[in-house]
Amino acid sequence: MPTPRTDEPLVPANRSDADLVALVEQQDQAALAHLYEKFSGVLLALISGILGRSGDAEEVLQEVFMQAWRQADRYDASRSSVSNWLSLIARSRAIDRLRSRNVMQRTATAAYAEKRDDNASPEGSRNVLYSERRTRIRASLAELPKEQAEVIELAFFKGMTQSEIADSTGIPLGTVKTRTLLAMKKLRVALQSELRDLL
Amino acid sequence: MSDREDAILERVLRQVENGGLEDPTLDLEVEDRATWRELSELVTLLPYALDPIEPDPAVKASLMSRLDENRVSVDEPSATLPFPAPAPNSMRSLQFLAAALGVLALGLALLSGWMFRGSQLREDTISRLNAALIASSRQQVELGPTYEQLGAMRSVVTSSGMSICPLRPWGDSPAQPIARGVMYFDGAKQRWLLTARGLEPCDKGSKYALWFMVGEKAVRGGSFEVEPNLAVTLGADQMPEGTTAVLLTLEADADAPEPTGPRILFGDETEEML
Repeated sequence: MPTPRTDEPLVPANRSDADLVALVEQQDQAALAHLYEKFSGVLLALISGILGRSGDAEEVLQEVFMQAWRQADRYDASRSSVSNWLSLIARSRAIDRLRSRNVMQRTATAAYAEKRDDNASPEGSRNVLYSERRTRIRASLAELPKEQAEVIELAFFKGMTQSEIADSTGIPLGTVKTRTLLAMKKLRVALQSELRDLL
Repeated sequence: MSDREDAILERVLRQVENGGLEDPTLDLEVEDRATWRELSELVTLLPYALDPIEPDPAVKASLMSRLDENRVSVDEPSATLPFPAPAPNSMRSLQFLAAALGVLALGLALLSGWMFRGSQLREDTISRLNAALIASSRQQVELGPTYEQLGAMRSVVTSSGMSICPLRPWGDSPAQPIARGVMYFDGAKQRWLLTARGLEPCDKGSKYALWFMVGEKAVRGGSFEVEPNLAVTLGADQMPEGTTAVLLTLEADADAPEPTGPRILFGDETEEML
């Protein structure tokens, strides 16, 4: 776990995520640091799911927070939670990076069996922060039929489009869409309490 | 969920695929906007199921040092010099001297501040370059095996008389329908190279095993483990003569002398490459 920087100005602990983004808009570095501490773990997991555990993932993570720093004024709390906003930026940047790699780079990255278990933090602070949420979402995913869980995983953990899922699995596109819709309906019901926290 | 809500969900999925750049709420009814918002939150909530990954502390340090370079200029109160009030003639010289000293002091303060700021920027740059150097060194070490693999791959792929054999999921109800593989081999020199992707990670203790089928007999070609999201590259300079097919199985016993585990990929059709 990183040691907190003692030279960072303190931001009151009771600030909401949206308050922090408003401070970031005012160029408050401490506010951005708080957002980083809160969301970087899950965002890096999301980015790594799309790009693989390569050095690219941490670069993209940094780009995500740089974009948040520059474009905090575009955040609209009435449209999305901060978590949603940052996740969409992360997913978009990761997919851009994935598509910008040429074939050779993909081969190299795919063969690049980077193993950095020392940085994974199953007992880290962020893990504790979101452990209940993680448990509930995993339980909800486990309740899905296997074929529905598969398309959800490919779409939201691997960053694949519906067409890409159809191509890679050989499942007709219509079936992929149907499975995704069915799964989302179930997850929407199962995760009502989590969603209420974000709305 | 109604058809209307299905349509909203499809829009949410399209928005996520497009990077969330447009504002789909603009043409939605108020109640539909609430549904859209909830579903939009749902799709970005799901990645919280993943184990968080602690970034390298250098990433945050580098990020914080980059913030200064990207600081949006904010209006600061302009420093104004006090306009000297008219003074009696007898005091004017002293006042002029005091004003000159004040201006000089202010100038020195500004110069000092500018130099201090320059020093900070240099320190930030050095810190950033150090972090980049560390990352570069680490990457160089980590990429070593990859370069070796690519060299082996190139030597096989560029060989004349090279053949390829696509490996596809085994059976009508494949255990791993997403998995795919290609076997490159040079029949004259008995060199071969396997690349595969989409394989599910191994359970603890189990391994994928590659088998060359020589008639009815299976000859073990090697074994390997798979980590999430990584493709596999495997190769060697030995391949049994008379090989007619290639089989990939998932073995609970990593040293199994013959294939006993579930069959994952199979290929028995080859194509010559020019």
